Amino acid sequence: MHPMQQAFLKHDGFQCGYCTPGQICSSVALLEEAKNGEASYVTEDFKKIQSGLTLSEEEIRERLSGNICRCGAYNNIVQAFKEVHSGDDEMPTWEFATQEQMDKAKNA
Amino acid sequence: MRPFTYTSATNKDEALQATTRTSHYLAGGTNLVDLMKEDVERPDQLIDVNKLDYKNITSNENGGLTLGAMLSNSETANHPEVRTKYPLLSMAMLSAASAQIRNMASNGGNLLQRTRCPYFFETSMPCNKREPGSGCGALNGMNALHAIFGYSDSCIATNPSDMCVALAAIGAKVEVQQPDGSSRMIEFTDFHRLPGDQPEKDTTLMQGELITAIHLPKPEFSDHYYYLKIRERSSYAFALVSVAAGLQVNSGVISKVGLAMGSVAHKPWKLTKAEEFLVGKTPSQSNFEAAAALEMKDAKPFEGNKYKVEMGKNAIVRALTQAYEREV
Repeated sequence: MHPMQQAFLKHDGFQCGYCTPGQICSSVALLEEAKNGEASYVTEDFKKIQSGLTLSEEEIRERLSGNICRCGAYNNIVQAFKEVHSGDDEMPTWEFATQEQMDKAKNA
Repeated sequence: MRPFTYTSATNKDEALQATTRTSHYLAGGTNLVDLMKEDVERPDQLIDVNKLDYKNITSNENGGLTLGAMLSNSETANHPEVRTKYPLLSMAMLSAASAQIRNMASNGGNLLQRTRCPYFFETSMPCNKREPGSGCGALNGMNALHAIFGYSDSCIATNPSDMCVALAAIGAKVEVQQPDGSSRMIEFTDFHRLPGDQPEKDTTLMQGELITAIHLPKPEFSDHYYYLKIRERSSYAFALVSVAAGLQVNSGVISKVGLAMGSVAHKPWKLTKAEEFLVGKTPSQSNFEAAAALEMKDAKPFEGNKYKVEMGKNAIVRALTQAYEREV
C-alpha cells in the first residue's frame, strides 16, 4: 500500500468510502505540489514561496477542497495527510471556543 | 446529450477552417461539456484545440507577459513569472473552482465561461440567454446571485470568472485569430459585453474566432495586491461578490490603481470612477470608503440581492486595505 493509503486507514479518513479513491489521489498529488512550492489562494505571499513547503492546516483544507466527503470525514483526512506530509500523527482534540476566539472570528 | 461530430485540429488553420455556424472550440471542457450534458449548449460540432501550440508564457514588447490561450489555469497561476510580477492574477486564478478544474481549464476557455444563473441551467425555465425571446426567469424570481450594475430587462445574469476580474483590474488585451487568417487585439474591457437586448452574446467575439493569447501590460501591482472573494463557503464556490485591487504607492501617495469587481454584472465590472478618485490621494480608510461609495451609489439591486450593495462597499474597502497593508 502507498503510505497515504495506510495513513487513511490508521486515521479513519473515511466513513462510507465512496470519495476515498479521489481523496487519496488528490492527497498524493498535493504532496508533489508542496514539494514543488506551488501557491494556493490562502498562501500569504505569492512572491516569496519556495519549494519544499510545509503546509498548514488551512493550506491543506484549501488545497483539498475539490474532493467533497458527504460523510464529513474531513478532520481525519487532514490528519492522514499531515502524517505523510510532515510526520505529524497527533490525533486532533477539540474544546469549546473561548469568547475571545469567537470575537476574533467574528471580526476576521 | 445530443449527437455531435468531433474533430481534433493540429494547427490553427485546421481549427479555423473547420468552424461552422454552430461549432464550438473545445479546450478544457470544464464548462462546455457540463452545459452540453444539461442540454444548455447544443453544438453540432466540437473542434478540439488542445493540440494547438498556444502553451507558452513569453515577454511582450510592452514589458509585460503574454499568456498562451491553451495553457491551463494551474500552470499559468503558478508560473514563477506570473506569480512574482502579477500576483493579483495568480491569487484570483487560484481562488477559482478546485485544483482538479484548474488543471483542466484553459486560459482562453476561462474568458468564455457562461453564467451560473440557475434559470440559464434549467431548460424548463425561461431564459433569454439560453433561448432568446423566452423571457428572464430571474427578473421577478430568485435573484440573490444576480447583477446590480449594467443589466437589462432581458437579462440580469452575472459573469462568474475570477481570472477575468483580475485581468480587468490589470488592463489586459485579448488576441484573437479570425477565420480569414487575420488577427485582432481586443481591449479587455471591450471583450465581454452588457446584455442589452442580446443576452445570448456574452462577448464581442464573432463566430469562428479563436482566442490565442492574453497580453498583459508591464507589471504595476506586484507589491500591493489583493483578490477578495466572498462566498457562501470558503473554498470551491463561486463568488457572491469579489474585488481585485492593485495599488502603486509612492512616498505615501497612490500613483496607480487597478480595481474591478466580480459577480455584480454581466461582465467584469471595472471601477473606473474609484480608480480615478484614488490617484493622487493617500491610502487611508476614509479615501477607500469614499471611493467605494462613489461606485456603489449607482447600484440598482433586486429583491433578492440587496445585500450586494453593502457587501460590495465593504469588499472594495477591505480589498484596498489588504492590498495596501501587505508587507512589501
